[in-house]
Amino acid sequence: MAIVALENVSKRYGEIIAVQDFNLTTKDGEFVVLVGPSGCGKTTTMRMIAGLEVITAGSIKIGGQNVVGMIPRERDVAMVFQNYALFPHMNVFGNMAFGLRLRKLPKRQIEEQVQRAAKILGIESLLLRKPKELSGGQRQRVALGRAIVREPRVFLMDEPLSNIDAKLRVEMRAEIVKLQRRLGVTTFYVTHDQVEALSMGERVVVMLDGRVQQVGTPKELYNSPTNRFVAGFIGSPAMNFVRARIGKNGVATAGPDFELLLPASLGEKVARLHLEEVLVGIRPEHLKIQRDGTGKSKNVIRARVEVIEPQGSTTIIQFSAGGDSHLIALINEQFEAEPGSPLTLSVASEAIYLFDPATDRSVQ
Amino acid sequence: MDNLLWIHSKRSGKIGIFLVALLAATWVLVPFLWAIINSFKTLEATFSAGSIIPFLNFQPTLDSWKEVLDDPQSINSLISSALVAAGTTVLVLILGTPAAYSLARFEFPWQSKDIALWFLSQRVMPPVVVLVPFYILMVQLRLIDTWSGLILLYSTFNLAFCVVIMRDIFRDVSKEVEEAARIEGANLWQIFWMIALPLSLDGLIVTGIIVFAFSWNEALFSSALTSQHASTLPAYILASRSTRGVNFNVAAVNTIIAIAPPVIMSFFVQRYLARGLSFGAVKG
Amino acid sequence: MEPANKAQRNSERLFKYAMLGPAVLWVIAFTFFPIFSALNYSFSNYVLGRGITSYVGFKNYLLALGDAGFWHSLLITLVYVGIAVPLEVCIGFVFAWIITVGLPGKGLFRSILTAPLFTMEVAIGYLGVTLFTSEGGLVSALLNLVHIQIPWMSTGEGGLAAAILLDVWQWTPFVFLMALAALGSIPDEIYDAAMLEASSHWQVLRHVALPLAWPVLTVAILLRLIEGLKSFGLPFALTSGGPGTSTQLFSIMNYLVTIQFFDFGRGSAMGILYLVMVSVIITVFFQQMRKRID
Repeated sequence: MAIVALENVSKRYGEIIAVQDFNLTTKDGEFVVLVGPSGCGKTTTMRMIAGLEVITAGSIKIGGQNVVGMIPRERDVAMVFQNYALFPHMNVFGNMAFGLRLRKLPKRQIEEQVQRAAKILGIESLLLRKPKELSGGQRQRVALGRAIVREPRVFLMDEPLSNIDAKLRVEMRAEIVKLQRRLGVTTFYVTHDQVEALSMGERVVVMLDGRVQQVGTPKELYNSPTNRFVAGFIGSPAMNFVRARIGKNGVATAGPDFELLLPASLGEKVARLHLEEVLVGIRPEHLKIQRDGTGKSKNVIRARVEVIEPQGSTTIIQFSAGGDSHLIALINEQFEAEPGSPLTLSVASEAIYLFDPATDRSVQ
Repeated sequence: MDNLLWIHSKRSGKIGIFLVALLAATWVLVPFLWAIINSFKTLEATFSAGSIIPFLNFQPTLDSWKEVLDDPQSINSLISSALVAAGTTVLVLILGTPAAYSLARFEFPWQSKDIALWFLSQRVMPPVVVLVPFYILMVQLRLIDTWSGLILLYSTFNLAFCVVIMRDIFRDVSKEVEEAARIEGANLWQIFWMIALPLSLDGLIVTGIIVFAFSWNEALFSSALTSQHASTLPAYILASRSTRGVNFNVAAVNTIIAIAPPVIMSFFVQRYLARGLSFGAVKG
Repeated sequence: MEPANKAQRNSERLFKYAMLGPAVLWVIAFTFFPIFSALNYSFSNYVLGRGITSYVGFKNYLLALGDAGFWHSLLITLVYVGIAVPLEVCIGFVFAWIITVGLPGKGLFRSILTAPLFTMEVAIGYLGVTLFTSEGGLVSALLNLVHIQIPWMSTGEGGLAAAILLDVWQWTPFVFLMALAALGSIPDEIYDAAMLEASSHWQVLRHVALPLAWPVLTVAILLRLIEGLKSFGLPFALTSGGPGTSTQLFSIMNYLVTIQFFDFGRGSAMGILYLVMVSVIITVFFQQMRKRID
């Protein structure tokens, strides 16, 4: 149990920058998720914490102790790997006891600790089996068991659920979170799946191209993304972006069928920044079908249906709103319409995001 | 594999192919059978090549087996062969396996591929070229006609093979598994000894068997560098061929004793065989 | 870089070189030394018991180059390799193809056909005497049934032919095994797709299997060539180089010159010449093969 502090951590491979100035201080026992598209540096960051990669610059502290230059063993961290990385030639007990044996603990204590960890994960009956005799979910549990048995200061999990089928994945997510709460060990969790990130993390670090884009609670990331990338990456389906001109009276216009009245606070900021053009961001789930409206109000979009994708209780509508703006709406009902038929959608003005097209930064 | 090619073959084609295969199997098996039959014949009986059915054509006897196994020279060479081949195998694996692992896992100022190629190039050299220097070296080291002398030589000839093939096999060990061991607290030697080596055990055994067979079968240096004490089977066979001529029944017994161990071993390791013998060029 | 990182790197460096070191030193010691030392002897007059008495320049080389036995052994070696290796490659590949096509009893045939691989060459040559000799030899007896008489053991040509046959018997399985692995690694879908287009096995073999297996076959040919040029045990046990010197491959001739006549200087010179020739042959062959693959 420890606070992990990363200061200006950077990693370069020759000219290539893998991670640049990563800064983060966890709380004790916090569950931190690193999320981003592949190649964003999240796994490299985790491997630097583990001691599998040498850092190029910066410092890493675990429990106040600078661990840079320490070998993994001295850092007292445990890691769960993407492909489980179980030792194929050892049985489950051997896998879990491996680290304890290397630390030369007395035999009885090893036995006790493995039994306890196995009990927590419900794998007591599997202790004598080899990894190849286990199902994917069981292997996952053994990998977790190997991590918790040593009672390390930090857990590191590198996409541990990416090889499990969808249904089991949802179960295991909840289980890992429960386990982590129970043990109270500071945890870093790497994933490329934003749904997983939002549902598991106390705090989520969004990364792109080796840089941290935003750190925040899942709610903060969803409600106030700091830039276009985070806005588009968090939430599913992804946010719609439409390039619009700022007119008088704080109206954002993208063609005759797309006119949005900005809330006063946003309007002021746009004015202060002297922006003539903005990127308007609207989450698909914030679009509502306007059945009675004739389009008098300023917050409606007159759309033309392109594709209807029924999702069961909800419906995804792909539509165009004049010009080449193609958007997606997620409607909380079943809905049918012919492609090409007209449709009016509305959005509450509080649910409108604006981004500076030059910098992609959020205007808030 | 029931593939389309076989299914769509004409019946005559299938029969033809089967006959060819049978012919090939016969071609391969006949010398073995010939040796086995002759080994149970008396010297007189061997002169009639046509009598091949035991009890009917000739009276099987264990005389030639007794003759060979009672001969202290042949027993001595059998022991020499076993000791030299086993000793070489152990030494080669001890020297070659760590080197192979190092080449498979770490970066070097030069390309790991280059050093593998260099090791491989050792194989091109015809042994007879270095016969003189080795002969003189062995004389100077007082290793002429000793087991250690042969072990030293054969290890030199087989080390390159072991390094190249084991490097290839170590590359198949998942890096992630080794990293997991590192996180669990293993140091580099422990990763090698407790993870990589046990996981490559199949490959190690095949490599060992191939090295064993090479050493067991080597004739040139054994003939040149031994006379009595350390003379291995190939040298013994060559010597008795020139001094005693060829008695079919004794030749047959010697042949069987000489070829059986490596051939039997090879049956157990079919899996990696192509890969091993091709220096890893084939993923068998 | 922080000092602690350096310590970690140093331990890694120590480990990797400590692991690699012994093998490299061993090979350097026991291959460089003998080659240099062979070079040394080749320029010297070596007298048994007294060592190198004087340096004689290229005299040993001139003696070797003027020695008809040397050239004859080269010719014999080339004939031996030039006939045996192509035969082994063709037969081995065809059998691998037959097995791959889906012959029933594949596993059994595979085991049988690879059995000769690890047999002792000397023992095979020795057994070969009992197969080929005209007094009670099996092959001669079988050929007698159809009234063919081949002087296997009494003429140079016959002895060489017998040796080649035995070499083919022993080493075809090597090519077979490699070709089998190469053909087996071609995905089934490719055969299936080819079968839909092609009109016969022959076309699939010619236009699909052979090109895809070619890189591996190249390696097989190369390795067979290397080993073939070193051949010693099998022909020596079969014919002892005779009758006369008619079946003295290079290794046999050089062995006899060196060990039986203790002519170390001339033996070394011949060895060095041969090493150079073999290296040239292998290199040229390798480059040609590589070109054809690219």
